[in-house]
Amino acid sequence: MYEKVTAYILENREKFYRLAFSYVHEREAALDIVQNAICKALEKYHTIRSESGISSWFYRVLVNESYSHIKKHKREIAVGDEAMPEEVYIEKALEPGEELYKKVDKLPEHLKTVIILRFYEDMSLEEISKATNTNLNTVKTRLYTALKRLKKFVMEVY
Amino acid sequence: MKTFSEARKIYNSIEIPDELENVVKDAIERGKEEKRRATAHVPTRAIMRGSLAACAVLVLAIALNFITPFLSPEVSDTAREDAVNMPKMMRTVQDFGINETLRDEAISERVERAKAHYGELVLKSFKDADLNAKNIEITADCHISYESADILSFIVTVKDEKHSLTPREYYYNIRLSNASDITLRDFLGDNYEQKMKFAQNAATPQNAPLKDGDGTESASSEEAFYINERGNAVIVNAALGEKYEIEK
Repeated sequence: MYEKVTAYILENREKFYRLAFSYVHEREAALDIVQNAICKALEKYHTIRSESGISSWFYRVLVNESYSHIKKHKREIAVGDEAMPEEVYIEKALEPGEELYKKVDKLPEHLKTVIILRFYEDMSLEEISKATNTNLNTVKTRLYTALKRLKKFVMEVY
Repeated sequence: MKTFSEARKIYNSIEIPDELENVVKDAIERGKEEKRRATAHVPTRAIMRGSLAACAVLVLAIALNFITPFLSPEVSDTAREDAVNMPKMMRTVQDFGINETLRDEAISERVERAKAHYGELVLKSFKDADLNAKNIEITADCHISYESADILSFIVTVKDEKHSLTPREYYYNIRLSNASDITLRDFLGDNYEQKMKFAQNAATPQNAPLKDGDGTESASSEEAFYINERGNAVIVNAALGEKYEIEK
């Protein structure tokens, strides 16, 4: 089982990095999260019951590690500095889907996780339930809530 | 959804740093090293020899301590010191992981028990038991659901690789200090039946009649259960396909 787990991790490392990056938006932090998740996962690999459970099991470790990192490194937002020159902000035209992507990015973590795992990582709701260690009904509720918040941006395209 | 597929393209275009591969490989190497260190211990037979020898010396030391005052009222300080220091050998054996060996043996023993039991069930399901005894291949997977300093709870899933029979789960809860099985009464206390009823009723759909003591099978301390990662008991009723959690 150990070899299967490490093979799975190597094969899907880019997906893990993208997920971690979507939470922290910093390269080094995302690399740290992936690294720590792998170390923690390999400590507990013996808890996996079968090969089919490896994916949701590892995503659970990764999501938890991402949340821990965010909690630990909550940024203090600096109050405006009078000495700093005002920059002219030019809003560039958004690519299709970019507005929705940004809105997903701004969702609270628990809603964002469901959207990313469902629509970007193609996981089933059951897999998301295992990956987030939450009840299936809770996953459905969160998905519904997230889609409601995003509805404006999804509907506008149609 | 069209827009999500476009948002997904943006997500998939997140740049992957070159060092990711090395970071992942290093983490895996570190994991392998930790695994090697965690499982490195004095071979079991050596531990057994060591622990038996230590036991023998300890018994002798205790005996000496008891006998020598009668043989000679003046016991040398050195002998006393040796007798006092004897337990260190037991601690040294502990350092080599005797608890881990006890744990592993407890798991192995129960896995074998589960496989044997399931094997019997499989054979019973065939008309010609002798003919099919050679054609079954029982395998087991072990999943640890909870582990603390003194308690280990694990689920053994057993199946026959050669026939498409339903796999079966066996639940074990062990006190690591003496490898004894823990019952629900041990885990939840004497009022375990009350706790079970309460949890079962809470898990029952709203319109279903509440279970009470009349006409229902009384709860047994031997009910199948495991302990989950929250440290709570999860009762399993395989016949009804039900599980419900009881907070400790």
